[in-house]
Amino acid sequence: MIFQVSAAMLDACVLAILTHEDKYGYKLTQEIKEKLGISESTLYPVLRRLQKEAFLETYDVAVTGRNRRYYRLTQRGREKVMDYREEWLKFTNRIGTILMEGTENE
Amino acid sequence: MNKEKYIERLQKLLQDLPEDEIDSAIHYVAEYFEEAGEENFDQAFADLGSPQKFAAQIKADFVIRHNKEDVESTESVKSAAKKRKQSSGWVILLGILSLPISLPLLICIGVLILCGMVIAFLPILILGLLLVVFFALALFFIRIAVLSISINLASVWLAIAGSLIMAALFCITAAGLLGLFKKLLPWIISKLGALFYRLKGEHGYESVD
Repeated sequence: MIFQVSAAMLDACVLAILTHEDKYGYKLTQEIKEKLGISESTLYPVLRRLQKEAFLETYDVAVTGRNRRYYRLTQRGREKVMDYREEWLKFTNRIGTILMEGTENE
Repeated sequence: MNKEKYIERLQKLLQDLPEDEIDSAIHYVAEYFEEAGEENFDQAFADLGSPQKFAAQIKADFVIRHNKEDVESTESVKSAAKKRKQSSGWVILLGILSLPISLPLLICIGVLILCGMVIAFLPILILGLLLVVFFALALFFIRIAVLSISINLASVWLAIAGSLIMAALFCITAAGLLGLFKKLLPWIISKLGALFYRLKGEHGYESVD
């Protein structure tokens, strides 16, 4: 991809993916990796930071002798997703206006 | 390398960080390897990157996070400074409101300072007066000496002696005055400077009015 995923975009995507359901680290990581095509090593620090900023919280669930750490959005996190969505529309609109100018007539 | 070695290595690399940071990172990595399964260790290793790379990113993120907190705390310091500024506005307002009392007080202080200055200048004034008197007396005695030439010689010598004494007193007074000026001048200049700044500072409140 020519366009790079910025730190803010990655934050937004992680939070957005968690709006539907809580996910444990491995699953969440795989999903992000698959959908965004980024390498994993950048993801753990993002999760940790989002957790420290109180957008995410974790809880452990024991599954077949393993301990899965689930990530869940906080209320603050949900509000943040809304902000990100709004900002994203503004951003893509602005870029889109410039980039697509005149293409409707072609 | 296997899962245990990876974790052990990571733990060593992260040892400078707080315990909960280390625990969280280790938990994540351990879970990742377990979920991936032993047969997919190489893939999981490729995903996570080497322990060095993984640790470096965690540390970098930790440092950034804490610098941000520092920045936020300096911002709170700034807002405290703003509050102080607001309180200095209160001081100015109080200054204006207290003018009915503080203005007469200021005038009193001004008069006192003037009196002090007069007292300080009194020795100079007296010495200056003495200087003029001795000079005049010296001239007077010389004139008497000239006038008494035709009368008798003893009077002339007496008058000359008188004028010389007056001249000597004039010289002593002049020397005293000069010495006083030399000692007093820097002191007077510094006092006047301080007074000027004090008045200027007090004017600050009045000009707001």
